[in-house]
Amino acid sequence: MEFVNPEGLRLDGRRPLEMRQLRAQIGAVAKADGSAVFEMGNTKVIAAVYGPREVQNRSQQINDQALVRCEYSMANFSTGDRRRKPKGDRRSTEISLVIRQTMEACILTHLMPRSQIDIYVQVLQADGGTRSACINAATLALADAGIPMRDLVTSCSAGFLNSTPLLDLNYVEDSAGGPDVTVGILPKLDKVTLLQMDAKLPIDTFENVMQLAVEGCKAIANYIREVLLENTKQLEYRRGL
Amino acid sequence: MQEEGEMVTPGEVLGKATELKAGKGAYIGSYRDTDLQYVFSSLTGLRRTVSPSPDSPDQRPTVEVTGHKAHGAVPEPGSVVIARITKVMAKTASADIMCVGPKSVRDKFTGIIRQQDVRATEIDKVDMHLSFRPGDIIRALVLSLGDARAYYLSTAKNE
Repeated sequence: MEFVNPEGLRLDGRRPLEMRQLRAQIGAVAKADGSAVFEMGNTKVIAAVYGPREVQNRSQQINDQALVRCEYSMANFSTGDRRRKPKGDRRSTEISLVIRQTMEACILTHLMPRSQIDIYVQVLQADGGTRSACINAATLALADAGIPMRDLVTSCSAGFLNSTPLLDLNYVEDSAGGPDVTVGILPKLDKVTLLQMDAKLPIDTFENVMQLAVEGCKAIANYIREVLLENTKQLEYRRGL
Repeated sequence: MQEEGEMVTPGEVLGKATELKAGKGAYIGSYRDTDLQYVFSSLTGLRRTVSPSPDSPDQRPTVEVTGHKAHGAVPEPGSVVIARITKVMAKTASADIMCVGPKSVRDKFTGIIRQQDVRATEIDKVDMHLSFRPGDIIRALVLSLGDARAYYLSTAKNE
């Protein structure tokens, strides 16, 4: 199948190095301590953060740091065919773990001993790159909850189809079976916290693709910072009234 | 260097660790892969620089970031709390902490008043059932963080 046409356009009309439109909204869940909706094109994810609060299950309590928990789920209506998926299948367990590990790496957990932080992410619309969108939504929600973090974590995917590196794959490109590299970085500290690829790729091509994904992450980080600053400004403004 | 009252997001550099101290909402870490220590922001909010008291040996100003989310009050040893008695037993009474100082708490905190902490005199003759009834609102001092379940409270002070 042709993923990049001779004019250099992808199936959804983007250029190979172009990202989908980003949209973010803070404070989507009123009851949560922090929440956000994050959209990358047609992928839409909602995240809610509760905590730091008392540990529910005392046997899980850690005496010198906070316990971070994460639950990933996909809404039944998120995919093209409406399907009832069992809760806790292999895929969602794996993504929950990935998100938990990525967020744990950036939260200053030692500041909140014997407490727990719950992150709930749900995919409302799935169009490829849900993993990245979930991490970005979780970052925004954590920042909104006022949980101390080393840096914002942002994530973006990149692939390699028709011997062209492509940024931010959508569902069709994702299910083409080509390599799909998901990268999560701490943009200001310039550190990688997540790197996933389930395919083989020559090392020089891989480096190009990964570099592309890192650039994507940085662009997302700039956008998230803008959204956070705008939100803070709004709060300041309302306080001033 | 950024100016006073500027809005920052997590991960932004606030200054060099040799020139600044990290207060609330800030932390010290190494920048990228260098050995240089910098102060970073860990919250979204306004940065503020607090100058040190003139007699302190460390003359570096402290940089803080104040966020917008107010976290609920948490009892700590020495704070005065308002609590409601939930259960009275022969040697202890348990209570739910409702306020810490003037602030109400958001999460649930439980406290225990032991027999020896009820009053200052004749502590061996205290009858818990004559001292408290479930539903009583009491003002108590937090003695310690207590065990894993509850804070230790005391009503023994003469006021």
